[in-house]
Amino acid sequence: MKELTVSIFYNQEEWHILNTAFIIPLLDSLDKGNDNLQFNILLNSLNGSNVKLILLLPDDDFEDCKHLIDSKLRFFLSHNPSAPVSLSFPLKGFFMDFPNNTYWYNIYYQGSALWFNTMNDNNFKKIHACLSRTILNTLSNERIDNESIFTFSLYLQIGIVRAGSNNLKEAKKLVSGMLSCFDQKEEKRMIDSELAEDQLKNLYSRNESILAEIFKDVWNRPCSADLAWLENWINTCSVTIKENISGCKTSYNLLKAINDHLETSLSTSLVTLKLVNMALQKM
Amino acid sequence: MQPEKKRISFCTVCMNRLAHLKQTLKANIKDNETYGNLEFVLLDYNSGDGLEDYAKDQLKNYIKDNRLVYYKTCTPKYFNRSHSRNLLFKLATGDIICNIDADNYTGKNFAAYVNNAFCDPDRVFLSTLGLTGKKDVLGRIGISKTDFLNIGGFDETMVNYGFEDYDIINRLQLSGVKKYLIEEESYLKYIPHTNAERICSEQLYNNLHSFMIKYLTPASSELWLLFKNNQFTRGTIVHNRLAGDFFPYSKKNGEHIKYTYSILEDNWIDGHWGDLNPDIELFADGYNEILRYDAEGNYFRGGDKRLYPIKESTLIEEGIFFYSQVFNRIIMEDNLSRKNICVNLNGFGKDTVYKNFDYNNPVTV
Repeated sequence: MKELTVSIFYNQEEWHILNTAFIIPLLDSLDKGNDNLQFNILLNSLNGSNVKLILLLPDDDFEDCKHLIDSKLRFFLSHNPSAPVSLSFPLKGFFMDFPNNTYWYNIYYQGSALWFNTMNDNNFKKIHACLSRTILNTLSNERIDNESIFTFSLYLQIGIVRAGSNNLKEAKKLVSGMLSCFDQKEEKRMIDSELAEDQLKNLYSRNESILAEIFKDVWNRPCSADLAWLENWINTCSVTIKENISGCKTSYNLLKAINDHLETSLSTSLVTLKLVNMALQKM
Repeated sequence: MQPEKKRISFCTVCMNRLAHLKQTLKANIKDNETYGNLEFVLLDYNSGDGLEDYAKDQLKNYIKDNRLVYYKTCTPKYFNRSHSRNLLFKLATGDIICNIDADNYTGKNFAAYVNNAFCDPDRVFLSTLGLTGKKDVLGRIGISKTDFLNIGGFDETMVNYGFEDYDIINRLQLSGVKKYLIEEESYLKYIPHTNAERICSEQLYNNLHSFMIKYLTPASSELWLLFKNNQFTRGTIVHNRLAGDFFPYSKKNGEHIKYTYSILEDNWIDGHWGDLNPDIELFADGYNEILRYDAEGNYFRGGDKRLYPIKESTLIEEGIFFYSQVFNRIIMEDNLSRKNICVNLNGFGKDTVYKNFDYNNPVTV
């Protein structure tokens, strides 16, 4: 099998169109109905708003598949160009973005550490696959903005907590253990020094209602039919947590997997986990 | 059997870091008082924040009973990491010299730990380089004074921030000294601080007039640094890990693995600039150009590209860091590729200092 990464630079506000009109049909045609295509989807803003599609393709079919992707992408982008991304100069970093409505293969050097090779745990392969399908299923219906991605990540995070605990008491213990996994991280030091206790309380009170709503959706199992993706996510996390010795460490690694796919930072995960912890303490 | 207690010097340079030193120095002295054969050496690198008064007032007892030696130099205007440490290490009287940054805590009995490490029959040095997520303690190095003098100390051609500590350990290893990694968490505590604090006393930071970027491709941009002394330097920053048609991976062997960014051809082009308010005139070898300012777009037009003045402090700091580190990194890589063990062939750590507030008897190093 051979790995292929294609970064599609496309206005974030129209990622839902990219998902429904290009990525899902492309995956269907590559899979040919076998339901065994290995792919991952990573949402990304590095060097411009882009969706990174990583595929593991059979050696024999690799060139044909690449040719297919090439022709479909060219067609899609020429017929469905996303709106220009407005940039404010000077930019926030050293480099200009890749042009919008373009695509590039393997633009980031990874050395021998190809994406799929980094997952030595089979359960984590399933986690990444599940996250990718979930992104396609949930972020395909409406405009995607940073807020929708944040809410989505909260669902996923609280889903992890649900997967690793049977009741609120266990949930509190799990979250406390997950928080301690941050102890040695630079991000913890930064957040602790920059986000004072009262700021955190303020942040919590502003998000209290959304947290309560998400908790309600996640905690009542099985999840409602329109949240089938969430039920699937919790089940997949549950298997992974149960098969590993340290539930807290595994749950923490699941958080990092979410970060990989949604480009959320470890600092953001820490802050949201602290909010989850505060919500749990009030239950 | 207890190992022989070698004479150890814990050395701290301070320039405008009194706030940190107030928290760390006394704690460090207390945490190591059982060792005995230990001196703390504090070099006041012309600190402008009242360090001398503090030392006279708050550290006099430690100085009196010889646990602390205070040196002051009035020469430097800016912080120079290589020179300051060379001067300090030369002043230290220990067989083993250990650098303790002003924001670092040694932890309890670190001196005994250092002594144990140097009981190794091989020649060793202590370092924290190689630890991840510990950038605030990466200045910690323990080295025998003999080895330090033999390799010529820190390379004083590295006048900027960064890589001088990597360079010295490269040269120590080239000379056959074995690295001993300090991993114990209790010896690696520090006071967190910002990048701006890290470089605010450096010459580059204080001399910078403006920083501009000319965007070329998604993997390359020209960085322009205009200094207050009317010199400028420019170079093309290259993203080594981006490929595609925009820019190939760096051709240098392995550079894309080691470093995310480089300067194209390791080449900074220097020249002079003049202020034609609002335009800028540039002079370099065989080159003269006027950059026209476009007030509406807030950029200068240079050739067919635009140069954007950067106002955002974080990006300016990143620019300074990048320039600073690449400048030193190129020297380090050169030392490494030439297997250059000994540097500063014309001497190092030279200065005139005053010991324990005695201004009648200058000490020339």
